[in-house]
Amino acid sequence: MLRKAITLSLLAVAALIAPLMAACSTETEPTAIPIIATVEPKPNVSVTAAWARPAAMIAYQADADSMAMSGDKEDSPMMDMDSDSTTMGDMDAMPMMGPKGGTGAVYFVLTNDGDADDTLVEIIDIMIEYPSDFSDIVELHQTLMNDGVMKMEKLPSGIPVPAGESVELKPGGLHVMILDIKRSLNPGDEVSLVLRFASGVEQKVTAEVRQP
Amino acid sequence: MKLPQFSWVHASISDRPALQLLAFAMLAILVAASLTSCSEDSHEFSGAVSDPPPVIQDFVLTDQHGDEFRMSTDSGDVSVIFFGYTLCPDVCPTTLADMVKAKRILEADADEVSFIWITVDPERDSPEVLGQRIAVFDPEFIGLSGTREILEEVWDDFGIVVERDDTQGSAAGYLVSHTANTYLVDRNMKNLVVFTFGTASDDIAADVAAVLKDQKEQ
Repeated sequence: MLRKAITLSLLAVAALIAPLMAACSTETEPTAIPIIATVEPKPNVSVTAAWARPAAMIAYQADADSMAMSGDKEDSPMMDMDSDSTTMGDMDAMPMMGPKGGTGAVYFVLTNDGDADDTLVEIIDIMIEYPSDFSDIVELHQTLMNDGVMKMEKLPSGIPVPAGESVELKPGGLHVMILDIKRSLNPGDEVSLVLRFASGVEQKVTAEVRQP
Repeated sequence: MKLPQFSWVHASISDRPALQLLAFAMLAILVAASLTSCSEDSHEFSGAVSDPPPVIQDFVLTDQHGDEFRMSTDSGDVSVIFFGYTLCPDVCPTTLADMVKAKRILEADADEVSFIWITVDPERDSPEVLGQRIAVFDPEFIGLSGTREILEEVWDDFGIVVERDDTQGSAAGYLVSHTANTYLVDRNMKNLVVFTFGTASDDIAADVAAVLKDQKEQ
């Protein structure tokens, strides 16, 4: 009888503790990615869920003039200590270290519903209103992770999309890299890309700018 | 199994209420104990926790406003530190966006947290350049640059691998491969938690909140 009482009370304790312990762990919810894309023609490969990151005009050291142009606020004073090396604008003294402006990235999903394999070869143009008004330099890149070290590389032969398969460009993986941007992109803006496939198909895709 | 010879073992039927009371007391104690452990030590960190945590070396770098930033005195109660460069279009902005989300989740607690972005590309990332990039995400974030010499010491201290890649055929000139982890450093400069790239903002916020709470109770 006594044992029964003890057993019962232990059972009651266990039943009460279990939900308490469960309540300690934190819950996580996956965030849904809204699908925003408009595709004009309908060839083998469809392009959906296109979005671009917000991008800011950045003036790297080699170009002091555009630094003055792009700074929309006076809140960041010119560097005093290093003013000699950063504001002289002497092209001989300062080796060009890549692009002058900022960078951006666009992501989308490529789905090949046709019978033949295809490859996204290149981005012919990226624009806001007029051809090339956003950037002249667009590359297909891939991010690789190795032991926590992030490495990015240009894809020389494009992105293959085998028949019946789907390839997702996403943060931390395949992406369209835009260099030397001419204008800033803010959430809510739209940017259009013209994609060229190995099959000869050219497609225009509109990506909405948003934070991921 | 033999029960210990306490007086209540010989309890007669008339003593039953006492027995019930005892069972209830036992239960109450256990429930209370489980609740206490829940509030104090049972936070399970999402990031990797080092035991004992390494203490980071103090450093002085320049923030995006051109002001000196000394880690030991200018950082908040908890610092969330990550590394990147402004030209990086994919991983670095993803990390920055994740930190913006984590800050939002922390609400008022975020006032005590410094979100610190340390460049791995000092040749291109001047304070101004960092400032222009950070403004797109959260102007309250701290962007740090400095000489390569000082930065190398900081990278080494955190175990950050930084390699400059002269990319084949890219207009980028060069890209920088780097460790994409994020670190949670407490007010005693202890590097408590390491988050790998892609750790959910909710998890980072929960770990930061747990360390803040723990520091307050000390």
